[in-house]
Amino acid sequence: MSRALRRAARHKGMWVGGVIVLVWVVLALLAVPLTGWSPGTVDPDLALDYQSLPPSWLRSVELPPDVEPRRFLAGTDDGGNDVLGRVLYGARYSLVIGFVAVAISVALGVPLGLVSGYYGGRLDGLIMRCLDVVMAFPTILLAIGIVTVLGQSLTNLMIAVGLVGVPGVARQLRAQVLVVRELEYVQAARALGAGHLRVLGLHVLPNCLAPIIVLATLGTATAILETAGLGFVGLGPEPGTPEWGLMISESRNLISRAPWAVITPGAAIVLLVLGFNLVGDGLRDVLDPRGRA
Amino acid sequence: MTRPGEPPTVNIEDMIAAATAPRPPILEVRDLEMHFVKTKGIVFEREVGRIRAVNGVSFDLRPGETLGLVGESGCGKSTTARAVLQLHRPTAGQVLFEGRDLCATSGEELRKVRRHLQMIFQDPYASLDPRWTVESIIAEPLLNFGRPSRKELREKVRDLMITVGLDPDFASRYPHEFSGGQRQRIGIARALALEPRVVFCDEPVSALDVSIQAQIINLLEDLQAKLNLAFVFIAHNVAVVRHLSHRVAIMYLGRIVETADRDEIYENTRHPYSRALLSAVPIPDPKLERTRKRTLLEGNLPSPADVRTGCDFASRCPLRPQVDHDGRCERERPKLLPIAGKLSHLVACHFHEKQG
Repeated sequence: MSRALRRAARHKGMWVGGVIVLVWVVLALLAVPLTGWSPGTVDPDLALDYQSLPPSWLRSVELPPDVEPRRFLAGTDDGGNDVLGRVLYGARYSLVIGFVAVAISVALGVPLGLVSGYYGGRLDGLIMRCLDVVMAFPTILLAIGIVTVLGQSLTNLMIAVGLVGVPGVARQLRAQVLVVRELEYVQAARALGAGHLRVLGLHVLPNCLAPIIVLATLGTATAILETAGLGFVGLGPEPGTPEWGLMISESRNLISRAPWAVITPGAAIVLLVLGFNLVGDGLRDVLDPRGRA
Repeated sequence: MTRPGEPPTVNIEDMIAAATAPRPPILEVRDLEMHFVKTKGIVFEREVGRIRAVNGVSFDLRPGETLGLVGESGCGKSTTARAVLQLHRPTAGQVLFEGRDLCATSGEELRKVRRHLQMIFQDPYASLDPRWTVESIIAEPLLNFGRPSRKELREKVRDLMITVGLDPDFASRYPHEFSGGQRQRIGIARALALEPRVVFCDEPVSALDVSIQAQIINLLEDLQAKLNLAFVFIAHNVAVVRHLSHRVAIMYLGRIVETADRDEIYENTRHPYSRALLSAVPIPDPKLERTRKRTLLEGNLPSPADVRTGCDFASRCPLRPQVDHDGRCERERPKLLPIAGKLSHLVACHFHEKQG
């Protein structure tokens, strides 16, 4: 384990990714005090005055008289909202949905993969074929389908994104279980009188965790992307919520007049996904040194 | 028959017979067969291949006795052990432990019987969970049967570690902090924790240095004497088996081809395969070694996936060209039968009497 830690300390990509993710978490928590924006803070009477202001650092237009010149680092959208404020606040949605969705994927995928790989035979065939069916659908299409069936809400969005990730987790774990279950210490545990559940929980699962940790991290990135995608097509939270995909969608008509309202949430998605991917790749290198070229 | 009221008649000859009769075997394996079937198709499952790893193996094991199981790699020694322990469910045959057929039991009942049969594994690096401390590894079997208190558990683990020659102060260390020999001692301590009656030693020393091998073998001998254990000692090292065993069975391609008491099999080897196998052992004296006559086998081991009607060894047998004039070896499989005059020496060869 200490060797893994030393490898981790040297892995630059993982550090960069880790810092990005951490900064996003802090920004999401401090969004309101940092920018002064929170849902419902815009006075509807003043909204028109603040509509589509460019970012403060390239401001060439006449400002309404009561606007401080340094406000709105990323400009405002056509509702008069501070774009930066909404983006930082929106990180909460992405992070929470990402984590909850991955938790759902892992919670369902791990037992399926364990059972499938450990018992094998017909049960394995049945589970894997069912997952093949699920995997045959393009993920975003499947998520759209699930949201349509369950009804549109934040909870159902998380469930949909989570379910889409189940086959990946289950397959990865199954592959690992197939390796681990043939190891002598697993056989030894059986001979020593451990029941199947005990063997699975105490020997097989702990020795299969490394790929799951990697997959969960990379899966968070995917889940954030899928969430944004669903938000963009209008299957995410209700209109007006500062969810990144929805923000892009709602501001897409302004792309020529106020591009900052689209670019900022887009850049936020890229940055957060990049952060998780860097951490995931780093974890893979650290936890499984054989995979390195 | 005795009538009621009349004292039972005691026959002195019966008493002598009872006292000198061999002790009843603790483990009887009858026609054990372990085939690995490869199937295709989900709904209409059909067999596309069958690996006959173990093909009708029978042996008895008495308390305190060591049976050496010898044979080249892939002949089914380890599979036999695993099938007896029901780690792989045998496809046919019986495994009678104290008269109870393990093949016919399953689930909780099997788990409870199996505690009396334990196994020491070949690879001391692979057989210990790398994430567990030595203490938890040795305690695991105890926790599988009953709920000892923490103090009892600690005591028991301590005793076991001392029994196998490990320093009990190392209990909280992890397997990778130990040498191969020490790890094998951990494995032995774990196997002994449930106070088994029968222990399968699956090549317990072949992964160790020669100097360490002797230590482990001596340890096994001491433990056998102290605990009246019955061993099935699996090895391809014929010298080690000779040192340790009371009886020896030689396996070839999933069958026992010859079995006899230790000295008998080494001094009066009847089966041509056994001869070849035993002649492969080097003699430590260089002068004698130079004069040693070796029987070198031609050809490769036939595949255990093929079906043969005759003797499995026919294709490589050095004796056959001289004796088999009418193709009997390829036509008829030889049965494992006692040789003339010795009931305990069994050979599966049509022509073993013509062996020089």
